[in-house]
Amino acid sequence: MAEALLSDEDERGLLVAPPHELIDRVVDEFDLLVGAGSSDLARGFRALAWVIEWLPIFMIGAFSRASRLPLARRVLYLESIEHAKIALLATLFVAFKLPVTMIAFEVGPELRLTGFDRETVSTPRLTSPALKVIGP
Amino acid sequence: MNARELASDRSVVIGRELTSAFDETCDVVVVGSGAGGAVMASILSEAGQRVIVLEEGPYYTPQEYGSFRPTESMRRLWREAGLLAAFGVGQTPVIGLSAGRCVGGSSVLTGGVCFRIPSGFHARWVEDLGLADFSEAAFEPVYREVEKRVKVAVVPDEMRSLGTRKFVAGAERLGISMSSLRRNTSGCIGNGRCNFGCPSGAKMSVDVSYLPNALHHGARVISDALVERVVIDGGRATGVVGKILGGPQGKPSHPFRVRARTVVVACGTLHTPVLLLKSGLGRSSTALGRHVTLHPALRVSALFDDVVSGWDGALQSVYSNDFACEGITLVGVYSAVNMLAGALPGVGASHRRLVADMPRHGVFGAMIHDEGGGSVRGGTGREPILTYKMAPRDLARLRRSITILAEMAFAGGAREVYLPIFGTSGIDSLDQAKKLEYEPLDARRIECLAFHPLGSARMATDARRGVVDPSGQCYEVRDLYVADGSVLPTSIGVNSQVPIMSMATHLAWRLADRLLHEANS
Repeated sequence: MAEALLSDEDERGLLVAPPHELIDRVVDEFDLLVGAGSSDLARGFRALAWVIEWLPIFMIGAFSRASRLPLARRVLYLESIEHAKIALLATLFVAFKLPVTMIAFEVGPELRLTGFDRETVSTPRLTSPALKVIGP
Repeated sequence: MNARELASDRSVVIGRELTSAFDETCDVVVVGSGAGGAVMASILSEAGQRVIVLEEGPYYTPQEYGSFRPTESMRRLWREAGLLAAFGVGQTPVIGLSAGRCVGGSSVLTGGVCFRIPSGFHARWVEDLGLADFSEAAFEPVYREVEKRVKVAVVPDEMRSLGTRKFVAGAERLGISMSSLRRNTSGCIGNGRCNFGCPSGAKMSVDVSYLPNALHHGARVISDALVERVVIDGGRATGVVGKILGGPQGKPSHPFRVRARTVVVACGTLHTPVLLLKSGLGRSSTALGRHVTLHPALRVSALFDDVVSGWDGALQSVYSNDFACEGITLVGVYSAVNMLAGALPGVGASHRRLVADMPRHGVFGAMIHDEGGGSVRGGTGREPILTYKMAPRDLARLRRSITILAEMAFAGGAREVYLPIFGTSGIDSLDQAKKLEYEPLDARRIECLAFHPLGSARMATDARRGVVDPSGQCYEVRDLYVADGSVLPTSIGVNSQVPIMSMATHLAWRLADRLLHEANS
């Protein structure tokens, strides 16, 4: 799922998978994040993952588990959940998408893509002289 | 249980580093170290009481949490790793909730916005609810005290991000007035990520304002200490028992007990009712765990032609009360860039194209003054379950606020506006926003957040209608007090940090007087 969420296009408009290092980092940190919550939270995400894994037949008519779909079909599948007529499905999808993409766009080339102009997301603002005098 | 004297070097005791059980005695034990508990501990220790504060979450210094990445902050400081939600009943959105689980509680995660409780609510509390001591005039010295301690000041215009300025310009063109917010910061340079820990240590959360004062006056603060039950003997609270979370992955390691003449519960609106229910309360009133208000909120992201670098500026700097009569407050907001990027629609390449436009995105939000439709009850594990049934009136307000924000964005020059409705793409005209307001829409499509859960152990003048009396003492158990957002008798329509601190100050002054009187007699 993370692979489809973070996929890209090359200059010819062809779909390309994200680098393995990015996926490995996102998956590891996602596990850490969910693991920091309660056992109820972990159970909730396991159930959510199960639902997403088995829905392709209903969403795109594919007789396959989501994880076994080719990348292009997985992207199509996730797009169909995001726009699902059943609102709860769209909501559940976002519950997964938001932490995955937050982790992805937090460091490295993905952070650079956002245009954020500080070294890291924790680097204080590059202050202008006018701003240095501000504050009680 | 082996008795063990806790180190008392006036710094926070790191509970997970304790190697054995402990059994301590003090005058007042405070459960929770957030905006309510820290204020109580500070004032009562100043008054000469021997105070122990027990905090379930870990302790990190401002230098430490200021260096956390946002998801690291969620993992270490936020309850349920920042993935906490209220489950909607019926036509209600799933509402993402932010709550702290660390020394300093949710005050570490706020945007720093400071409002007093609006006059109308003080009047209602006095006239309709009979809470005679809770008038605006009676609270004036309380507000002054709190605002001095946490350094409340008006956000200078220069601290508005360019994105916020675009929305403000749009509002002015529409005749919507905007005012500068007041915030509790000292030396803010506008890092734009207050809710994940300030990288400059500028936010005056209670871990840097009230708790150091409590420690200075002899209080002891113990982190990683989960209180499981209030000990009640003969209708009186006599202490608490719980477990230190010092095991692998924060699992319980060893038990503790703290004996005290007075117990103050300040675990917040979600956990206070659960602790009281576990301790056997909830028989005389049905109010415990019910009537929870959330101030549901949402945000709209707008794409402008110019680079606005929305991350350069105060996270929150302006607001408008022009729609207060409709129960809507408009508030300028931002968040960490990776969080906002993640919230944009799309999958894969289509999502990345939007993310690449982040420097041209401005964000603005709205908050609803809601009816109390929430209920808290214990779950199968440590965390409670919060359900929320949104009143149809409040749902209409949410949808109306989306249109207002879109109108402001377009009037400010936005090329495209991204609405907080799952499954929608950006819109490029106000007509589309207006149409969406009146089209049938499943409420669960609305991306909704809440930051101010209040009212699950509300105050009332009789035991049938509330959980605590006007002194904060539980009707069912003597010497057991509640001092957090759960005691607020109604929704207040504004950010709850200063109101909770003020309520705790009011209750602490009275409790200090009572304890002193009892000691003298």
